[in-house]
Amino acid sequence: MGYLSLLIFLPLFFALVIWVLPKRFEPMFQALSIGVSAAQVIISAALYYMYSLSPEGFRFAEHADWIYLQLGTLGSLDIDYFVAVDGLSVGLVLLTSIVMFIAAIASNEIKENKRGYFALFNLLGTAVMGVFCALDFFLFYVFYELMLLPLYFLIGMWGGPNREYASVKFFIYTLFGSVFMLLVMAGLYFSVTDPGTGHHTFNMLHMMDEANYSRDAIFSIGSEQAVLFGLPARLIGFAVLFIAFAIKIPVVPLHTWLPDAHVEAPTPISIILAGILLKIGAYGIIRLCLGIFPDGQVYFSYWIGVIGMVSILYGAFNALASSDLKRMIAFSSISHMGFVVLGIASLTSEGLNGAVYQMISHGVLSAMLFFIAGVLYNRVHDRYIPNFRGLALQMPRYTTFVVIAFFASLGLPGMSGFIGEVFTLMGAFKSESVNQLLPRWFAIVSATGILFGAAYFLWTLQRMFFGARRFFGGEAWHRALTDLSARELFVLLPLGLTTIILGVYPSIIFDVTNLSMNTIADHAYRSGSVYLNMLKVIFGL
Amino acid sequence: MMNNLNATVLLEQITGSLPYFLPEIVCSLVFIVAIFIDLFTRKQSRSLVPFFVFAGLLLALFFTLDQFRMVKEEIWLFNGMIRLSPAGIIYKLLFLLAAMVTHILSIRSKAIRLAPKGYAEFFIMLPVFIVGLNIMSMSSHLLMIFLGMEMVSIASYILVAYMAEQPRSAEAAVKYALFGALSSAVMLYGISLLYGLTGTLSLQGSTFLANLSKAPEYISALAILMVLAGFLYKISAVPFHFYVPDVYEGTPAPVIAFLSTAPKAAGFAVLFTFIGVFTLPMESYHLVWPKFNWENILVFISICTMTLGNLSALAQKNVKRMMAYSSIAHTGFMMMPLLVFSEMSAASLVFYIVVYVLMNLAIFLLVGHMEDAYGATELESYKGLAAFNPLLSVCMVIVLASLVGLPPTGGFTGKFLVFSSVLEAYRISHNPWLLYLLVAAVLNTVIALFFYLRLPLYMYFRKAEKIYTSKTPLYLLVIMCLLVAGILMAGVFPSELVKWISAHTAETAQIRFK
Repeated sequence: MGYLSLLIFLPLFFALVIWVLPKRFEPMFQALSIGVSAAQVIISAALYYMYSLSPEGFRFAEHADWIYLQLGTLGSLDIDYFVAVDGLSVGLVLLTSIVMFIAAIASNEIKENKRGYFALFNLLGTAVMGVFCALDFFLFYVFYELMLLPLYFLIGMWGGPNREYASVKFFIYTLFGSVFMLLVMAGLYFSVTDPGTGHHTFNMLHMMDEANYSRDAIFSIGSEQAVLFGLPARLIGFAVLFIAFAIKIPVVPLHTWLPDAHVEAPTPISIILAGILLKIGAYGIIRLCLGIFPDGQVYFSYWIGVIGMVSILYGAFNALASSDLKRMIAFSSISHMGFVVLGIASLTSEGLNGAVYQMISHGVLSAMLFFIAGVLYNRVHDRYIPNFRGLALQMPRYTTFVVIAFFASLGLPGMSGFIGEVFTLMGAFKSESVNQLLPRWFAIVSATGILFGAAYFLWTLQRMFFGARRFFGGEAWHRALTDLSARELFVLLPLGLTTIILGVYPSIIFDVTNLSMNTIADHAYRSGSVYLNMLKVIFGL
Repeated sequence: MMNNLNATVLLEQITGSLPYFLPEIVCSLVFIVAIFIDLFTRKQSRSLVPFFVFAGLLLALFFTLDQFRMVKEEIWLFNGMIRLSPAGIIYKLLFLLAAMVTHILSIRSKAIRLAPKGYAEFFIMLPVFIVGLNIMSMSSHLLMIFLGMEMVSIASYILVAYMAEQPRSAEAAVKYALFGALSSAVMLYGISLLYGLTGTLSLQGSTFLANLSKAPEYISALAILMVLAGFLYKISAVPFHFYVPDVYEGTPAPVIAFLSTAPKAAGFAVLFTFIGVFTLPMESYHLVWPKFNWENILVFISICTMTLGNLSALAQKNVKRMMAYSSIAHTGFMMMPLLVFSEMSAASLVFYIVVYVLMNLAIFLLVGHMEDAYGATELESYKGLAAFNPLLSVCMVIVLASLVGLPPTGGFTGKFLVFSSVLEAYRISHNPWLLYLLVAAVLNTVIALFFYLRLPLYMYFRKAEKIYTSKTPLYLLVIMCLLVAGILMAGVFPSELVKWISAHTAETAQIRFK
């Protein structure tokens, strides 16, 4: 068993352990989960370090036959257990384990049915880890869908008052995207053959290579037979995958599940949602959409840029208008993920590197922000911004971390949010002169998003933390609102340090991502343009 | 002299066929003997008949398993009336599995124990079912198909009717029998038309299709449609589905566990055989026959069935009615591989059916338990069950995930195989209807999620209003866990199962291309 398998299946094993342990071990479940994720942090940090020594290509690969079916006329169905990481995923793997660790610590607000909670929590850990590592499309899909059920229960059973609605909405939205992905996956499978064995394959790396596509298949490159509903099949394939992942990110017209899910979810699940789940959407676009359908990316780049820009602004405006702290943070997530989409759409090296950086930075920051919201909520069970005033006097240490998190998020230079936003904007700005995909004004308009970001963060800071102490709950709240406990300090301190370190020394990430992202950007733009020209010749687009 | 010789050959044929007909003979004998046992021991012992029937089913199981050894390729029995193929044996095994699980679920079932018209009759009907179902899955002669279907239908009417106590379930029983009789009549009329047009009732060989091709287009299409009506009734496809929800609602869960699985599987076996006749032995194997556009008609029925089933299920408050519509929707999905007559589609159909049988048995196990222990039939009455019955509830969630088609369950693998075979058909025929079908199927998966989720929603998210006191019997838990283990295995490691199925079904599909 390799490192990655260990990383993936460790939580699953403990999920089963927790499920079968007798009831009297219940107090230990949280400690067990923290232990599991701590072990994951150590393993993935080691992997990250090892990868950074020679950051090129896919490494730590594990390959095993999983499902092999001989199906007569269709040939054989080859599904492999194939996991490996490159510069794109190794950082996200590390981020995942860190966020899971934080979430496990934040889980002590869970009081009832701990067995179910921690079993599902660990099951979720396996699924998200698997998504980032899988390089076989079928395996990826299995992990991708495996996330849904645990999350549904985690939100629905331990969530807020409106949790039923929020969990069902989340489930339906995501499943809607992914069932169509299933069709594209099957179509790709029949289009691609493994050059080694001559069988059809789900191997993503083979799907990214033009040479492996057969002539008369559904997703063949440059074939007039590749038509669905009278449109080029490859563009439809791209659109389907993009919509599936865009729901996860989420981008603006498809985002409405996110505020509900975030507001209703318990703190640790909000942390996981914002810290990891949203990244899976962006990861899927970079890995699958850009990798497999680069022609679609080149073709739709303009509109994806528009979507990114709209998400940035719309998210920011909504955040400005939110009076629930958690809702405000949820909308700020949409705004920040908009930068990732914009960076991807630019298809430049800066844009994609910035996108990955922004993903990691936002992963850390959103975990911090939701934890901060949770701190308040756990004390007084209220998150309504106007209900608080002068918290800085009441909880000075807490306020320090809030200030760090807010300023890092609004893009103060020297902190991590700044680098991610600047690089994605640079990519978008450069696009017009490099590949003519996005006009310059996209970057300029999107940059105002930073301004609005500053507005809602600072305004919130001013309303809640400054001024004289005045709380909606009166004397009871005065007593309840105690400053950070040691446990909370233990969570916030490393997160705060991380965002500063990342901001001051961004090469920690760029050194690892750079080569991989350059390859991806290069492949996507170059082969994308070539394939798209073929499509244009055939279909007269 | 001639006649004598013929008679001898005939006799030899029959005696030679008997060893291959043992499971059915056993079941017939069990049926007859069980009646007498019931007649004479009714006063002394109630459990003798169930015990005897179970032993008989076990014996039939033994002979059926033995047939895997005996039959390597399809053989014709009784002068070509019966065709025993390896694929047919899989179906037979499935029927026995369903019957035996149903048997075990029924022994303690209150509804059946307290049935005013007698307890043992229910068990006596099981071997009759097996005989009828086996004949359905083995016949390739229209007369035998009709015979088998009637046998199953009549047995079903009896089961549904004699369990009926309230006026509502009596109404369902009458509906069931009435619709059934009508569809049988229509089918019989279609068969007689086909016989008139072709001069043969045997689907074996090419005579049937060759003669039918010479017949006038409209009449042959009409005849085919009429026969199809009978099959569609058995698999409860739209528009022959009206009876399903009422029958499900009014009948005890263990009975439905059986009625929703085995007859439907047999219906698909028959449909597959029948449609297979119309695939021309040519380079491509999709359904091309100039006189009757199978592909579009089946696509249309399939889309209607799954959509109507799922949409109606959304509105249900009664678990059994919801599951009735769910089973209609699954019929729609199972019709998808019929569109392609390839080795893959044959295998994926059987795979889907196997998983479907496991899922439905598991669901009705829970429903039956709830009905027995708490008299609970409404979704509302499942509130907060999870806190009292954790193991059963977790199993339930896995089964529901499989019904939706989420990985890593057998339902997902089945759906994936089915979608793949349709996609493959599209690649060959480029018929846009196949794409519409795929899109409809995918959208239906999302709709299905809505109502399947409501069960865990009530079980987990809502607080219990009452205390679920009664303990789940151990044997129920064991069966449930076995079924769920099967569903999970079919999802995580489907290789062996699919390999086994396709090894047995390959020939059924291939035979037509030779």
